[in-house]
Amino acid sequence: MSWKYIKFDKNEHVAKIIFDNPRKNNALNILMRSEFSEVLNACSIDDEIKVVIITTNSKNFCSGADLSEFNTFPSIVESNLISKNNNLWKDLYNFEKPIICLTKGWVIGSGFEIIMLSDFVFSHTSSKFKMPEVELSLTPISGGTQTFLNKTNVAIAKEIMLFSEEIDVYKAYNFGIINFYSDDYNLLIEQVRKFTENIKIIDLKRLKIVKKLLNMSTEENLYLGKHLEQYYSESLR
Amino acid sequence: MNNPEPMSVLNSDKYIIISLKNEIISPEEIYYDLNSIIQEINTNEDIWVVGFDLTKVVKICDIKSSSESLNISLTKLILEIKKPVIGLVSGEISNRLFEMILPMDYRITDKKSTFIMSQIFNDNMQFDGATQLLPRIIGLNKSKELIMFGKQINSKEASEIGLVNIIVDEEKLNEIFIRKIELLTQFSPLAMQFTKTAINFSKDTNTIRGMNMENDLYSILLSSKDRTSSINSIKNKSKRNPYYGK
Repeated sequence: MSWKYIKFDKNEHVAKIIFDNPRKNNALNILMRSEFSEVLNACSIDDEIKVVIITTNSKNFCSGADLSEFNTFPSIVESNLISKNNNLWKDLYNFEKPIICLTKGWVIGSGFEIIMLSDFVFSHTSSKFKMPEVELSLTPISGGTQTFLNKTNVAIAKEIMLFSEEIDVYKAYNFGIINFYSDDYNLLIEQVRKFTENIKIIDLKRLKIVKKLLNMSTEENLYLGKHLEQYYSESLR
Repeated sequence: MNNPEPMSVLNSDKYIIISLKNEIISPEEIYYDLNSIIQEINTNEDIWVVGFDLTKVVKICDIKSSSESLNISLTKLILEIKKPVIGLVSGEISNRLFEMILPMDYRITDKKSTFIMSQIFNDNMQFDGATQLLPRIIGLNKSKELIMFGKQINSKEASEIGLVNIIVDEEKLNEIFIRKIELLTQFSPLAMQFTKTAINFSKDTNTIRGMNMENDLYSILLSSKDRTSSINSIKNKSKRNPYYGK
């Protein structure tokens, strides 16, 4: 099966979702989002896949939403419905298997929000992160206002989203947004490979439960989380 | 707008700066005036950004009357501001002054400033929200260090843990303060307001519910003239002129 803006590759337990819209610096249009959603759902139900890597072969990871599509719908109701019916961001958040983002170049708007919805981020030093929404009279729509606080603190979240300031990998690393960075892209690929190799031996069910519990820790009450940890741990024996 | 003592209020194009003028501030003295100023800020479409200049304040006292103490909360007032709030502080930021900066969205200080909450050593405790607001900003671990052990930190440490956003030279404090405020006046006021609301909401709800709220706010913004004109100006490569979208 092939898609217009997404390439897909599967090698044993590792799936790769590759953004492929280089002419628009991987700006996410409606079709690309729907293709991304389709591939993600396929990865979700394929039990051979234990980890998903989201990356690109072109210069920039993702330059955000495709602004050329904005204001093109005949009615606000219609464009409202499109954003309401788009479950991609919630699917990403609820995705049970680990997601790794491997970035370079622009990581802008929705692109930035995608890495905030993922579990691990490996970034080339060329990566530039920015949330330009407020500058463009928009608000984040891909979960940014919620997910930033899971990884960093409210002061940094406001600095990034209210001031629309661009940050580099060093700042992103200090802010807890990315996990690893390097100026050698091949080295980064090798690091990701080692990382995914380690995941290979882990039981998929265990992997899913641990991710779910960790995500719960930032938003559920401690006693419920602790109880579920014991319950799941017991059920896996 | 009136200039009630001991506060001064500077109204400028699209922003307002509230300066506390005395070294020692009693919350009762400013609460009612501040309350009415904030009501006006929230309803006045010409005010997009709010600045708080607290550089002259050395101490904010405890409330004298215990019957009034539950009604007078400066942080609650600041939390009610819908527009982005930038705070400027300098010197030893302690106890209730420390608490007062916590509900602000962006904090600026100088290299020499220090931060301390020592109430626990004085048979006292935090009153104006620090036990709730501080962990939301710097996390539980660091908050316990500061609140339970009364640890004093310098501005560099404060910046590293996310308590302040920017440290500048003392002589540049005011310049940077104004520059940051003016930067925000270039952006869409409604988008700023909604983004702030959604971020603040995120700590008190789960991610999926928060994402639904983000989506709802986006839907409201979708019909604003501000957004439509902004997108059109990007497409036409013309000058963008944000205004309080209706």
